[in-house]
Amino acid sequence: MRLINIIILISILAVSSCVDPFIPETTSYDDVLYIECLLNNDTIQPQTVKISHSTPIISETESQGIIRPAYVSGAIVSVYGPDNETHEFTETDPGRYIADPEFIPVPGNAYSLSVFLEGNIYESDLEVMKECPQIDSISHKHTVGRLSESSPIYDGYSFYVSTHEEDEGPSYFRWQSDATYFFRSFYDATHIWDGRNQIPANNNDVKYCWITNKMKGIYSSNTEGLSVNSIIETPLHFQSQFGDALSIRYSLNVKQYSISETAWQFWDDMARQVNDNGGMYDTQPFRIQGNIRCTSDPSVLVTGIFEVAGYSEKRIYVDRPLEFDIIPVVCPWEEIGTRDLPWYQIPRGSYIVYDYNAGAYFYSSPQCFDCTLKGGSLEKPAFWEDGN
Amino acid sequence: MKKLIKILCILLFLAPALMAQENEKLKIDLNLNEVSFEEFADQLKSKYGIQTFYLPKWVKDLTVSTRGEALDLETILNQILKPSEIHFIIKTNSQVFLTGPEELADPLALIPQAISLTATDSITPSSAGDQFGAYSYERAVKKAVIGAGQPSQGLLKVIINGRITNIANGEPVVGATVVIPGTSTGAITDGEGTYSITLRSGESYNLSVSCLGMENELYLIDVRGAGSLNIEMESRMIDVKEVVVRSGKNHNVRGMQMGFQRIGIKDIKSIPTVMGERDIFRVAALMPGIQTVGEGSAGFNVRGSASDQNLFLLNDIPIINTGHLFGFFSAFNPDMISDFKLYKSNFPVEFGGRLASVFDISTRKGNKKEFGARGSISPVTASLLVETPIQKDKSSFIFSTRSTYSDWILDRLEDAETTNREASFYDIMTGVHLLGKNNSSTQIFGYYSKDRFNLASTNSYRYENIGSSITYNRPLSGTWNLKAAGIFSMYTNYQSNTSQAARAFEHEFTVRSQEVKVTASGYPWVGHKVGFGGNAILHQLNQGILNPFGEESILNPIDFGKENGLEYALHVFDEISLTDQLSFYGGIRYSLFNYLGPSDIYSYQENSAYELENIIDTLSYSSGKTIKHYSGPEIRAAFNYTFSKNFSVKWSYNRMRQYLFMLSNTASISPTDRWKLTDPFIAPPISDQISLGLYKNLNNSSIETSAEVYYKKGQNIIEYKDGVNMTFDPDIETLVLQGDQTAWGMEFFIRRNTGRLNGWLSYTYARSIIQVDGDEDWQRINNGLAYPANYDKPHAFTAVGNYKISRRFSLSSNIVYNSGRPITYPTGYLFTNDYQVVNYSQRNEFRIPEYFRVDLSLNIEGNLKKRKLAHSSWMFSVYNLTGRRNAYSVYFTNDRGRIKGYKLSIYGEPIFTISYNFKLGNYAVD
Repeated sequence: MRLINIIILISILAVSSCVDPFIPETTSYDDVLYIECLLNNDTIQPQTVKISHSTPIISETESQGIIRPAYVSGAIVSVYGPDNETHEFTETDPGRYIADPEFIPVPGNAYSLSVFLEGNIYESDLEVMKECPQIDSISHKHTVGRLSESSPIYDGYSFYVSTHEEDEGPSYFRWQSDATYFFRSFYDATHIWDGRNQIPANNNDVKYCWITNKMKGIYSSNTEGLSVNSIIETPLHFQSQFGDALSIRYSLNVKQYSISETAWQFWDDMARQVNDNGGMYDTQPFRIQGNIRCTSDPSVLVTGIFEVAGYSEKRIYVDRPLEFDIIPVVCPWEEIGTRDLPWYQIPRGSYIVYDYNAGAYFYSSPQCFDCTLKGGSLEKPAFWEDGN
Repeated sequence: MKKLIKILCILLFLAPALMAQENEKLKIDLNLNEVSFEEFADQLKSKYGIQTFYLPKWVKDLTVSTRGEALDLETILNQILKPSEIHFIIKTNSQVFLTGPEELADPLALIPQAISLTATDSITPSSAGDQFGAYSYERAVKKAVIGAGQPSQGLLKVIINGRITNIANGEPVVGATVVIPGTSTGAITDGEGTYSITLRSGESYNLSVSCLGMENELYLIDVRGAGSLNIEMESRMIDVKEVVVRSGKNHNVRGMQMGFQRIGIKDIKSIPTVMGERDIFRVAALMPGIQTVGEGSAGFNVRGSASDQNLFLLNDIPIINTGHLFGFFSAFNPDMISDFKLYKSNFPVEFGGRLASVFDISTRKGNKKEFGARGSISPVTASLLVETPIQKDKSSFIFSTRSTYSDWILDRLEDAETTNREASFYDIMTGVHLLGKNNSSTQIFGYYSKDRFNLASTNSYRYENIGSSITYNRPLSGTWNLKAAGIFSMYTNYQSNTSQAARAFEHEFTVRSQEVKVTASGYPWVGHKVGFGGNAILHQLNQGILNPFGEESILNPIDFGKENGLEYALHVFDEISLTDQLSFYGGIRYSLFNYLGPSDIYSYQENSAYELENIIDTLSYSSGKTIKHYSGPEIRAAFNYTFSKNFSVKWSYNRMRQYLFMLSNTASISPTDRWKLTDPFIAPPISDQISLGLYKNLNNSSIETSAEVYYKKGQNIIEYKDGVNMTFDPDIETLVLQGDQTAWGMEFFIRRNTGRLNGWLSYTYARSIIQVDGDEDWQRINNGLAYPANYDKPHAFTAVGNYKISRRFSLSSNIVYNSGRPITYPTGYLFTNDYQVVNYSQRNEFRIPEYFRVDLSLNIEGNLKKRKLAHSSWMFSVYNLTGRRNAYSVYFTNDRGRIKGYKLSIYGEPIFTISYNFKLGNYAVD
């Protein structure tokens, strides 16, 4: 139950509740080693183990910057399979250990992970790989949602995934997805300012882009307690009407992993600790262990998950919604040649717009003309299917 | 010999009074401006020959101004003395006796202005009573002869009992003090208004009856044998100035009770409230040792105990869910409540079944004299109460209802955030009270409350309490009193959740109990109050079936099963006055519990965790078969040593056992929490508490102070394993562990009951630590280390003040401070796939920010005419005056890949509300 719902109810009764950002002052900090590995039969990505330290929360207030994982180098990482098969991993980037691309786990086999680091041995439970069924469908519905706790409510699409298995179950799944969308720059340029003159020009070659984003978030579900071994419309993310994403054509690619109960529990706990809200009607948060332990010294704190999962994926396309409007990120423009914005302040090579009604030139920031400046790519992805 | 001389002295000096005739009323014409009382007395003597007798301390702060009008002596004295609550007696216009505040003072303590009288000691109370009674109060004092015996001299002790009622409406006066002034003999009336005291036959006594908000009643009783004296009291209407809230003095010092709070109607009326809702629970939360998890959360934590360890009794009916709207409001209409007692320790033996406290709430019984009605309107609710005699002075009927009109408001708001949201609640209380012969009485009472809310069209909740009780009270021949009650209570809770269509479900459960209770108490021997009795409760819990909801749901039904249990107990106690100063309460309650079939019970492998994979067998038990039996004695003992009238020390020990508990692993009680009986796997929690307290009254008992320390040890306390979700799991033994709880604390309380400024200050230091440890890993929570309970708030301070600006205007204020509750904070980030998650500290290692709040309210009473049809009052209140954003909770979410911490404040700004109350009759109608 989302507390915010209750709060809204109470608020209606003439009470002003409010949510303020808050970083607690925590006086103690226990460093935790975090190990994560999702062994699967996706042949494109190599098998990867990531090792990092936890980052103290206090550092955000001090650094004000983006916190990056504290990756841990120098570990010896191995995965053991059936018949004493051993797969050594090599560190390619700090904290990132990659197996030989030939190593593809086989459904039905059991694997375990071992990490040797700074004199300690960390070992996972033995995990058996399951086959993964195909995704039946990825659907979307018009819903409302927030971009953050304090944002207003927007319309948008919620995405859902459905799948089923033939055997009795229960089955456990986790999904990772990435979204690619095709979008257009905000303005059509009429000229370029070369520092002295307005040269007639257009921005057609940088007007349309594709951009791909990894969907952040933990999405998992299971079929425990269900009368059929099916996942029916488990919610994935919410894509709001705000911004470029749904403006022309949107594509979602979902990777489905068939995981173990232990792994599902791990992700469910993780997700609950950052998704549930308000705290009053939520269960006590707690330190999550996962299925990796320090076997050489049980007092060493480690959190980790070693999954061996079957894999499948599916892609869908969504065109510009009819149910609601798109709210673009507004590009403010300003008349050039005024006291506030004289011509000499316009950077050389800027796209500008001549407005015939106003009889004046206007300036706006470059990313309103050039979609590559928003991180877009001019090249159509290989998988992309154009809509009608 | 010395004694005799003193008596003679008194007689001499009182003689004129005894012999004088009633004269014409003398007019006093003095023109004084702000002179001391002494000077006024001098003037009276020199000009009119009137002698005034008083204790200097009573009048030391008084100033006297007279305007030179010719007024009679009584009017003048009233003007001077009533504001200070000093009573006086005029004898034949030549002598004035001040008798001090409230109690009739020992006449030997009266210091005549002109006569030096040194004798103030070593006179027996009874002879003092004789003398005092002999000369005074021909008008004010009523006389009564009690008992049929001959007026023989002797030391035979006899028992006097009776019932005290309100003359206006025939309601029993609960908590009135009946005392023989100058002695330690006294009693407090019980819930039926009855009292009992022991006196010597063949003697005469002054009997003084006083009660909060009532005029004192004085009797001169001539005791010839055992008998009864029924007394009617009048509500206090003070013509001159002031209505003062006061409780009977010295209760706190003299009585056996400790860890005890009584909350009067006046307290409820005058304290600033949020959203204009007068609420006994909000007042209770301002008392020492009572805490809530957060603003607007249901339940209390009493002396560091979990919120399901409180027993809420409404006219003996156990109420399972005491809150409306998630606990923002209490489920009891305050207009209906006549008395509210709260026990935190030294539990009387007739109470049992919960570890931490008993909230004993009595309702009004209805007006037996005339029709009455009252009501209130606040921004959230409206309430109405009507009462009427059925047969005048014999029987009465009362009905009250309260409802919110929030749905009406919600319907009028066209806002995306409020669509499909609903919230409504109401409660109804009704009763019939019948007086029979021989002071017997019968009360039939019914209670119903209902809550319903829908959130964002995906979650729907409903719950209701139904309760009824029939109580029969009867004094038996001699000195015994019998009380019998039959009680029914049922709580029904329903929820549906459609947030995921495929997993949509609905679930309804009920908690039902039927109880019979018989107690008898009496005074078989001098100095002993003895009681015994028993009760039996049949608990029937239907945990319900979680069913798929809607066409699309593919959820399998989950049967949570049914539970039956019989809880029964026998109790006996003796309250002994060992000496005038030392009294002892000793009692034992032997409680037993049978967990009954029909039921299927798993057998788990020995020495392994209660986990589904360790089940080796399932045993079926037929209906009514005892599956598991628990029993044990609960010892209750207390001492009170009274050093003086104003100072005592008390000690108590008691053990409590609990057989019904709530399944809750959230910080606050949630509206979906289920209840459960102790069963073959979950043993009953037990708590032992020792407390020691000092009670001292100052300034002629206008200020009460107390300091109590306590130490509590709980066994088999139920705690939940990390992260368990009880919504879908019927096998509770797989989710809980039992551990030890240690709670200790100190409570300081100062209360001023009289004067224009009254109120209280309280400070509590309280800790509560839980440890769940075992030999095996699975038997531990938090690795077996001790951790603070969710509601462990060490420091709590409250100040409640009420200032009477004038008779119609009063200002009230609360100041509340407490430490933040413990919380498990994240201490570090982890990154998974560029997505931040958090790593948490050990359980409850940190605290949310501390809490501070100031409230203010202005009460305006309508005119104070004595004869009027209806009286109304307005309350303007500001809750959270400083607008401090107190943290209700602190939580963490991932906003687009990054962890953000948030602090949620429920009342983040000052909240101003106006509420309106009305009642038939004048200001003083209770």
